Amino acid sequence: MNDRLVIWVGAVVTLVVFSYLAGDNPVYRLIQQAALGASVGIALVIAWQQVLEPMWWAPIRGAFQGGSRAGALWLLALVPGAMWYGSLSKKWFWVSTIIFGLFAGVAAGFTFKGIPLLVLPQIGGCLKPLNPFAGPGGFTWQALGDCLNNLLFLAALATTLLYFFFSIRMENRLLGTSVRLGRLMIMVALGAMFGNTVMTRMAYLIERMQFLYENWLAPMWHHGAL
Amino acid sequence: MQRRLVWVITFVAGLFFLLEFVLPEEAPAWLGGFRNPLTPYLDGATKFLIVVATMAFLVGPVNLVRQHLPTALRRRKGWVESVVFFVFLAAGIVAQAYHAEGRTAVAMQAALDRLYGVLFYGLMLGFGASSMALLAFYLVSAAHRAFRVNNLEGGLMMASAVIILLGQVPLGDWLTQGLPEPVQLPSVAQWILTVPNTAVQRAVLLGACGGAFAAAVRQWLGVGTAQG
Amino acid sequence: MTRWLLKLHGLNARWLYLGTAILLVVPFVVLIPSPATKPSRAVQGLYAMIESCPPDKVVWIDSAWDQGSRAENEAQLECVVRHLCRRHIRFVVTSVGNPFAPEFAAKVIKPIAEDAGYTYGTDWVNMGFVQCNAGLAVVISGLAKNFHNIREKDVDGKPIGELPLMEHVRTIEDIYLVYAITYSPTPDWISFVKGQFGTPVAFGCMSIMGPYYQTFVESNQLCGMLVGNRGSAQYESLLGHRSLGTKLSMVASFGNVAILLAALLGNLGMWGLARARRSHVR
Repeated sequence: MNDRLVIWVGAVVTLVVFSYLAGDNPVYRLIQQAALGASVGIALVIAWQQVLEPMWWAPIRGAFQGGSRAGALWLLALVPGAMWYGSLSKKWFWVSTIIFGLFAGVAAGFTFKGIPLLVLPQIGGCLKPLNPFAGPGGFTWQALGDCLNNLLFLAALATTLLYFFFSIRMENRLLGTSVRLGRLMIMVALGAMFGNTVMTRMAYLIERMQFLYENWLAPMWHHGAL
Repeated sequence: MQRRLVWVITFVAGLFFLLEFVLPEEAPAWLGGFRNPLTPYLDGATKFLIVVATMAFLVGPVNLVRQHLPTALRRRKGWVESVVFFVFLAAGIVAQAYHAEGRTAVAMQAALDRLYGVLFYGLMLGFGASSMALLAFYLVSAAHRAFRVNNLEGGLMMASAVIILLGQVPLGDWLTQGLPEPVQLPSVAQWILTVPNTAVQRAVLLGACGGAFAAAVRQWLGVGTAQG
Repeated sequence: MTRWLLKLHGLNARWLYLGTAILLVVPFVVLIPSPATKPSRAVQGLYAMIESCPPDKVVWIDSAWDQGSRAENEAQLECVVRHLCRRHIRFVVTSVGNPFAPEFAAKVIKPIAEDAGYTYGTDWVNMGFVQCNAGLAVVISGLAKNFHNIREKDVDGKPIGELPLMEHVRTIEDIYLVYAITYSPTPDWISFVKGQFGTPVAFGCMSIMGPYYQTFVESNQLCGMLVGNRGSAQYESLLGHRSLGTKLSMVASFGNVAILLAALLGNLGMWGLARARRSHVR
């Protein structure tokens, strides 16, 4: 990306997008539609070049050019493939529900596989040592700290799960206190998520500032390169 | 009839992948030693699904064209933007189709490569990254307007956020470098992430996965859906 | 004083935007050295995994990020590829679900690989975009069972069967480690690669997803994780090669200060408003 034209286009686009902070304007809308058009056009061709051409069209072409005849069977894929376009019409919308149903079934099948594989180790990971004397080296302050952390972990886990059990009545004092503790733990976690969210958003802006300064402005100041 | 057809297809599709996973690759001898009858079809089924799913790649562009074409042709409000959309749609298609080496005559190749660079790295990258960067500005104004500490829960959340924000950047390392390591900001931030945060996230994950599993069962069996 | 606090309450957002922009330019103009940071357990886990990788094994990198997450993912790809090249470990690259990702990945990988004397096709292969409309789980599972079935050609259209590296890489059993980098890597990698085949998986993700995936690091379902630019900076400190991650992580200090200042000004303004209301009532 050393081409100065590319860098100038990127800089102008960046500044136009930032102009949205002052308010919506026609230049921003033009750039928005230009970017949308370009990305849709590029994505269309990539979908053909990297997926459909090698996986679908190449076997069909091969079947008619002396290769394996079985490749011609891929023409039948046009039938389910065309069903997607039923969603563009009110009259034929029901056709698209067939193909949506196919992929919904596939997703369900993979969910039955995926969730146990994901969750069972999580449940196993909840079995944590709580006895600081039971370690291979006997009692150490490190072991005590780890066990206290594990105890807090289990307390936070249990109280958070309790917080979301709406079907249990919380009039009991112990349950009510546990739910409140769960809420406080959730607040700590939300604070952590918020802090990380801020860092992500800032990273976007930092990257753009870096581009504007190091790639666009600095070469002009230091080397006179337009 | 249509609903029944959709239900059957959903059920069979889910059953295929579930059975392929559940049945052993090769059964023990006392069960007959049969091999999983579905495994030989797995590669073909996966490839078929990917190809058919990719065939939907025109649905979005067709919708966009249906929206912009009448606007451009009849010069309704915003017609200039619609024309710009079509121009850059064509440019994107041409640039991606021909920018790789050897696809066109040498003289054209340099121009097409430049067009691709301008569209991909200048326009798309610039617009996409800058749009996300706007969020940072909005976050600053939201921090000024809405991040108020009014009660214990709010205070706890803000305290946690401040520790995470300072503890995960070099500023936090610098601020507390003179303190013992367990109470330095990066260590406290890491402790928040690994103990209370992980516990809460795990609890949420367990609950959410239970719900997702139940929803998948309902979807597969068509219970309580339009197809059921 | 109440008058000044009320001014803070009614501060125009554009002053905040301008202040933020100025604050973020400072570290680019004035070079500030970054202090050493202790790498987290997640970063050390990924580093140790690659350090202990036998030279005849292959790593699978799924680089599925684009302009929307380049701010943090680019550095995460760069530092790990640099480590792989330093140890001369071969790798294959895919981009599951993102058609623009192969171009961004190639832009980062090519210069590092060329500097390390890597030969395309023998030491590394870019298999390109893998469509995931059928479902990420379907595609990941399909790739794990047979790469050649899902991707018959590489990103430039060359048949992968003709590439020397791919003669030895057919299924997940030929892979030592999977490193998935994107805005938010799907947990299907954990289910269908680590869970089903036992192959170690590591993530490179945006900071916003770090707290969510921490639970998988804690349960050892992820062998390592780089979270945001901080993760890249810590990895670079282990490599002894400070680069993009360290630079951006340093600038992030100023960004976070901007947010904290804005929140502080807002709370001071709210306090001023409360004071004004109380004095008005009296």
